[in-house]
This record gives sequence, structure tokens and C-alpha cells, in this order.
Amino acid sequence: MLSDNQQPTPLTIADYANTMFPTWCPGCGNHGLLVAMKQALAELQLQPHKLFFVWGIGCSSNTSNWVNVYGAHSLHGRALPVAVAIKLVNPALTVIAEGGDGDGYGIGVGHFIHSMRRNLDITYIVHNNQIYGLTTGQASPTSDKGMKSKSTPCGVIERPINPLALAISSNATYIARGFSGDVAHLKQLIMGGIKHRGFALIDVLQPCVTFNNQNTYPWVQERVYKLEGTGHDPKDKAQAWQRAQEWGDKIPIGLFFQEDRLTYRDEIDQFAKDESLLDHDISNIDISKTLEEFK
Amino acid sequence: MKNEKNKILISGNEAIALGAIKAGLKFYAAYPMTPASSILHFLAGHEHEYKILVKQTEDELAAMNMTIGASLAGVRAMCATAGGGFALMVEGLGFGGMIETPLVVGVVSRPGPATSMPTWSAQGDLRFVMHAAPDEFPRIILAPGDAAEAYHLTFRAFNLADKYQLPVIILSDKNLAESYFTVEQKEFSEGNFAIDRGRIAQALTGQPNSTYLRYDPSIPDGVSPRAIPGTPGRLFLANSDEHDEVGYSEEDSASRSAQMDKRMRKIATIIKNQSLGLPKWYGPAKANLTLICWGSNKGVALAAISQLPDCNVLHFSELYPLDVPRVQAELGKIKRSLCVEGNYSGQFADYLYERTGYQVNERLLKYDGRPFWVEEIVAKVKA
Repeated sequence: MLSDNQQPTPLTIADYANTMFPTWCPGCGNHGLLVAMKQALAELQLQPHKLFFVWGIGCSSNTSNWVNVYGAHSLHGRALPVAVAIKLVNPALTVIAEGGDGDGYGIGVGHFIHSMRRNLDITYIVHNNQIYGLTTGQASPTSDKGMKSKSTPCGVIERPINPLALAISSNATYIARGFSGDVAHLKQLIMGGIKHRGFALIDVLQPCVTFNNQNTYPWVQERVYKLEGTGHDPKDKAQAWQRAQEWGDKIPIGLFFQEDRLTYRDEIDQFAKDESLLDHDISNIDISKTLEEFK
Repeated sequence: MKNEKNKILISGNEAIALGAIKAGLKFYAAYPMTPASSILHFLAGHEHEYKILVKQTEDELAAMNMTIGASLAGVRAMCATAGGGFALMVEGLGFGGMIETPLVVGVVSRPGPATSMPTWSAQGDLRFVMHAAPDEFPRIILAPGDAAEAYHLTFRAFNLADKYQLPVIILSDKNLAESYFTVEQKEFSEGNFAIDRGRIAQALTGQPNSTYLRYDPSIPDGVSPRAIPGTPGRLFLANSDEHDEVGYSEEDSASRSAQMDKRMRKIATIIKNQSLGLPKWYGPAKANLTLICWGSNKGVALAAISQLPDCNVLHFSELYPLDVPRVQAELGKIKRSLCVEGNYSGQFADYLYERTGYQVNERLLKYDGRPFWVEEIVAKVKA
């Protein structure tokens, strides 16, 4: 225990790491994302035991094995409901959910939409590589039309999910896209998402160097441009919607949209705003008044 | 009429909800589904009075996974649904079993499969709840026979879930859920209502390099202390992948076997501790015929033996796991038996045979969605 006059040692990125080394492929976009994440946590000086991470299943979510925080490596597509409940019960925890494009925009897309309209203070980071990597290369919900993969040898027929437009129409309150090839920029977006009081989506382009030979580092690098400095106003939903439609020769990264709105938890009137349900005494619940209702 | 002042009129679902409140329920999640919805309605109507968070979710997958999240966060949490909704919760049930988080799940049955007959009753989900989710993990199944049992068993379900860190399923049905019972109020106010939250790891400060073994496989009874997130010095990963003692993914042969052994050892611990009660006898101690039943058929069986001399009832409400030698001893007292249950094949009779070797003499089965009538049982016995 630190005594009152002792200054705690500042946290560094090493405080969020364990002794294991990621098993991602050399050059995988997840490496850059993990660095950006740890840098963001360290810069915000968030103590590991006050963090709760919830992962889904996929290459993205194997992150769970290489960090030193409280966390749940949950089921495929189900990270958000777990994260929502953690935040509802104990608002003192900083809750961050992570998963891939298949996890969040495919099998878990229902929870994605409902979590956004719920607007709990959660940061959701989606490792979007437009492919199923862990299962060795099938099309994902964000694969471009025409992409050939093991499961779509003649090319994807469906149009891709547009996660940012989906987030805007589902009333998320912090909507950003980053690129794992630009760690410093991504770190700022993650920090912004964590600091934002509400549901923050950070869609991260992170190339899969093994199974996606279409959306490669050079492919992304040539197309991305930063919204910062373009005059884009993140408070303007219509502008955000227009920018969210850009995908092709030019792909915007940065903060698309942000607004202040009460969180779901703020609007539950049986609890004080930051009251933890853990603090309730349950040792002797008196139900005698309710029993009278049954007479 | 003065005695009536001490009585209450309450349904099975309301009794389950009240048992959960008494147990300190803090989080309830559900997707509407008949005949479980009145639990949701009752709890939502009392969430201010008891400071509970009641969440209607987008689907049953969210309900189950939110319940797991709330339990992981450290509060008493529950979800409930019917058989079809439970089908959607099953992957989550396995997740709860894998990460050894306490879970209380209500399954209020109606006929199946699929949508079937939503507002009718059945006991067809016994085998389903017993085996639901891939592979094996310990669980407890309770099936109350009336409103008072629903109340007390639900209260106990939370203690059992916390004590053994596993899912506890309360298996009910439409017949119990929406039947109203006149009960002495003291049946709800008297009893042992001590809260047991099980083993919880306390904060560890000043030892930054010590490792907390959340899933320590060497623990003899299988129940390793759990930590509440936010506690200093107790970081762990609740991992749906097979994991090592900290929670990190691990597929090593010895480690996998050790974790399976650790989890499954809890079944022996539950039995050794005699945490579950034996079946209960009703009617004369000695009789030519015993009606064997479980769950909601308690009422109709008791009504039937009031018209049948030389007939008693052996009723099961704590179904799984069975303490086999002690249950065998009870079954050994039976001369002849008739097993009365609301499903096509006689799932409980088969389960008894599988576990104890005891074969019921006859079965009275009903699967048309209606509860048993007293007259049907009496007629069957007299035939």
C-alpha cells in the first residue's frame, strides 16, 4: 500500500503487458493496434485493476492473452452484452470492448446496433481487416464486393456493411476510424473514445497480411486521409454521414462524429449516477411490504 | 375468516421473482417469452423499491450474456425464459460454466419443439436443460413443486450458484408459473435466509509481482476463490477458451485435463456436502403404490392420493446432481410405482433408471399441453 505522501510510479505500457508474446503473424495489423491501445492506457494513467476489457472471438480478441488487466474473452459476437452489463453494474470500471469485423458486424451486429442506441460509457474497438483471419480466410461482412476468398471463390455478391454509417444511424455518440499503420493517430482516437462519456466506436483498418491480399498496407496507405485539417466538423451529423459514404480512392480516418448525450445508466432513476450496485447491502432484504400486495 | 389475514395468493412466477429479490438480486435480464414474462413484469415493477436493474434485451443471447457480465462484475444476477429462448441462451450457459461464474437461470417450459404451443404447459425440457451446451460442466437443476418451493428454491439457487460458481437452473413450467397458490404467509417469512456469497478473493496490495490463480486446479473441492473486478492485485481473465490457472488460453494436455477435473469435481463436492435435498414423501409411510413425480406435478399428485387409499407420493424438486446412494435408499422403500410426468417419453423415469438403476413400474405421460387432471391419475391407478 502506498502511504498518503508517496507518489505512485507513473504507469507505462509495460504495466499492461504480461510475459507472453502475441502469436499474430509478423506484420499483422493487430500489432500496431495493441501498441496504440497500451500507449493510450498509459497516457491516461488507467490502473489495470480498474479496467475491464471484453473481447469476442477472433484474431483481434486473442489480444486477451497478452495483456494484464481484468477481462473476459467471451463468445463470438457477444462481447458487447457482457461489457454493457459490467458498466451497468459498476460504473467505476473503465470498460473497453474489442473484436473483429466478423465478430461485431457479422454474428454480433444485433448487439452492436442496440448497444449504440443504449449509449453506455463503453469504448468499442473493432479490428477491421475485411476478412476472417483466425478461420483462415473467408469473406467478412466488410469484404468489398467481388472479393475472392476461400468461401467466395467467385467473389462476394453482397455489398459490405458500412460500420460508420450504421453507427451514425444507430446514434452512437463517438464515431471514429483509425489505421493501425498510423499508431500515433490511432492512439489519439482511442484516448478520445475512452475519455468520451458514452458509446464510442473506433473502427480500425488493420490489414491481414496472410489472408487478405486485396486490402493490404499499401492499399490502405494510398487511400487514407485525415479528417483533422479538412474543416470537418464532428458535431455535424450530416457532414459525418457524407464522410462515412467515402470508400474507394479516398478513405477518411479520424473523428467523424461526437455528441454529448446522457448514457443509459444516467437515465436509470433508481440509482445515483455513479452508484455501484456492488455497494448495496443484500444481507437482509425485507420483503414484508411486497407480501402485503398478495393479500 | 380471521385466518385468511395470514394467507397470501401468489403465482409460481411471482414466487420465483420474490425468492430472487429476497436473495439480493441486483440484475435481471430477459427477452419477453411466454410463460416466463411475468417474472420480468414483476421485477420491473419492483426495481425502484429493491434497487434492482431490470433490462429487457434485444434477444435471449444478450439476456444470457448480460447476466454473465453482471455476475462477473460481482452482483447477483438472473435471467429467465421458456425452452425456445433457452435454446438461444445455450452457448452462453456453456460460457458461464467455462468461466465458473455464478448464474441463476429460470426455464419456464411450454410445449416444444420450436414455437409450438406458447400458452400451454409441458415438462419436456428436462433432458434439454440437463445436457444443454457443448461438452460437460457442472450445473444444478431445481424444479419447484409449488409457490412456496419456488420461493425457497430460488433463494437457495443464488447461494448455490455463488458457493459452487456454476449455473443453477430453476426448471418450472406454465402450469406452475401461472397457477395461483393460497399459502400461509409464514411460509414466505420463516426459514433460513442467510446469504452465502461463497469464496471471494480479497484485495492484495503491496505484492505487485504475485500472481492470482483464479482457476487454481489444485483446489481439492474444485471451488477456487473468485475476484470481483476492481479489486487490487487480483487480475484474471474470464476466458471462454480453455485456460490456465490465471485464465489465459492454454491447450496443453495436462492443463486441459486438470481444468476439466477441477470443474467437474464440484459435482462430487455438492453431493458430499449434501447441498441438495432428497425427494420428499407425502401420504402414508407405507403404501402399495407410489406416485413418482417432479416439479409442478406435486399438487395434482397430492390431490390424487387424497382419493386413493394405499397410495403415496415421492416428489423430486432437486433434480440434478443426484446423490445416488441416498436416492436409491428412498426408492428402495417403494412397492410399486407410477411415474407421472408431462412429456412424451418419460424423461425423468429414464433419468432415474440411468442414474440409480431403479425402473418405475408404470408411466402416466401427457404431452397435449394440458396439466394432469386429478381424475386421470385416479382413473389410471384404479384401472
